[in-house]
Amino acid sequence: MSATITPPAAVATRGRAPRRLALLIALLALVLAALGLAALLHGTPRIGALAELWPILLEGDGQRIARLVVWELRLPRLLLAALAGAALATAGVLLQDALKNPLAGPELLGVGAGAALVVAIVVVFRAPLPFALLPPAALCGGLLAGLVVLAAMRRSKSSVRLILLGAALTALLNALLICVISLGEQQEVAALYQYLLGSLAGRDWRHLSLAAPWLLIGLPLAALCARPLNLLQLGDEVAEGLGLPTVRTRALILALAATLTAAVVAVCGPVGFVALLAPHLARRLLGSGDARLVLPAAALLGATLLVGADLLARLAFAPIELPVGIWTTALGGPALLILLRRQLRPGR
Amino acid sequence: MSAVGKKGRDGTTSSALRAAGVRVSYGDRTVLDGLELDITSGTVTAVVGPNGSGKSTLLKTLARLLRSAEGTVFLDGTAITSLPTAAVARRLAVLPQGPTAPGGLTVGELVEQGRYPHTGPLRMLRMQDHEAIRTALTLTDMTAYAARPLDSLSGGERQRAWIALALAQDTPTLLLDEPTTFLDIGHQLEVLELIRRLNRERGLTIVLVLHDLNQAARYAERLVVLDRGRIVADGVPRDVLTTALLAEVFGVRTHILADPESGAPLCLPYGVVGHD
Repeated sequence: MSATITPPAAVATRGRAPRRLALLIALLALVLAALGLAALLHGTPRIGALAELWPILLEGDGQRIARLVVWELRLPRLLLAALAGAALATAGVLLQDALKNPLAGPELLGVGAGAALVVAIVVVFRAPLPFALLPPAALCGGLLAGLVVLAAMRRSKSSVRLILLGAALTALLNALLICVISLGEQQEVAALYQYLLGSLAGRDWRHLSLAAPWLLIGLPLAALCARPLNLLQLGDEVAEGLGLPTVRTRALILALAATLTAAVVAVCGPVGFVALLAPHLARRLLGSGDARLVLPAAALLGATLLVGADLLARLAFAPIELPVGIWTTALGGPALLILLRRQLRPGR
Repeated sequence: MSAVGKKGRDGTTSSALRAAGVRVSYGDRTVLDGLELDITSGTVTAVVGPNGSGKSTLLKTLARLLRSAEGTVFLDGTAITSLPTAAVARRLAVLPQGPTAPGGLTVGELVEQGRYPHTGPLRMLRMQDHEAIRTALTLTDMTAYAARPLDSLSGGERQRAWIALALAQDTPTLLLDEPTTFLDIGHQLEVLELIRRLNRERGLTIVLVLHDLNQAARYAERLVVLDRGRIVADGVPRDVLTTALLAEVFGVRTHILADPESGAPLCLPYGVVGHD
């Protein structure tokens, strides 16, 4: 790096992180594409070769069964996994940075518990609701719970109090959820568990079209939060002194995180660990906490993780399918431990 | 001793910051009580006082980091609460005590944040933003450190980086809360010389909280002494630093000499009042 000519008005202010981001994005795009192709090819019926897949995807040709399976089952499920993974990871970055807490996650906003509660009420009390309307109802439940938690947080200025408040209200919602579940019968409870673990099984275009608008609007909005997130990481007083209305900004960022999460949990259930793991992994791989870089990296990582986990869910014990939520938690927990082992070591 | 109506260099006084009847409380504990203070443009004012006298609270209230329960703070004649946060940040920079940055953040990345109130909704940096960042780094002698992570620096370097952040805001007024704490004597003087230079060469209005009375007397043209939330003395250092005041406010027995080099009052503490 000798004899580099800097433009007169710019100072070399950043480390290697931006170049790492480009590399990471290229790499993840490749991995995601490979996983995506695998997701479209594998399963029953298996499509043997890429040569058979292209006509199906591009021209709508091929065998009727194969076409149906790819277009109606695998493609929407793949897109939903990618979008949901990106949304969860983004919500994770928003929460961790806005609350300055590395363990903050969407579950603090009560969104998952709210969505689950609505689903449980509908299933257990046999509300006269068509099955197709369950995801929209869950979305409403999630958003409503998020709204309640955020409204309660409105007065509170410190991050720690916000986190305690979120945890307390979520615990309350979970208690209600358990109440409702315990009133249910065996069969209904079994169906509920499938949802409570987070699964992508059987999700089709209807599910995708419910979640996608929220996510496609929410993700670009999250990109606009990058600079404010960087300021909030310097502490509220410094951020406020730099011209950021911290209380209002944090509330808006939390609302955005709640919306992203609600759209995902409404159709997939609460998929664990992606929101927690992807941001940490992104920061470690980038060697930087700059939200402008972490947000895109984490989103792509989240998409890759969930698409990969869903592939595992479908194929590992085929024909039995374990819910993807089990895979993300089973793999995400140890991964997080390994990632944080340096911070966890005593004496630091 | 009442507030001094100090004249600016051109003979006129204009108020950069004014606190009128400001009362601030944490819960039911009143920290500042009916406080009146007028900071003249282009001056260096040091706020001193014992621990818990409300110095930091005063600074935060002046910077609108705390809202006063009663009274108003005027920034350049406008009630500060009526201004948008970004507008305040374009006129006044504040460095709180002991700020912390996330690990791995480089000096350049930190200083760049100082341009936040000046950038548009997309937060892109323009020519004048890069210029301001460069100036801030040059003034604090931090240009060579721009790409270094903050957590790899010494305490003095880190403090200069934070001051550079405040300078990048390019505001006429600068508030600093104990900018010399945790620095060795060399770095302390470095920071204080920088503050003097910023005032003399760039005409900045500076209010700083200091612990060291002698440094305050040497580098500030006005001392404001706080005790239990009230201003008990206010004026040029020679008038303010008296044996009686130091005994009353700090509870120490002192001798006051004239600094042989600068002529500023120099206090030598000998013991705690009533203990000897």
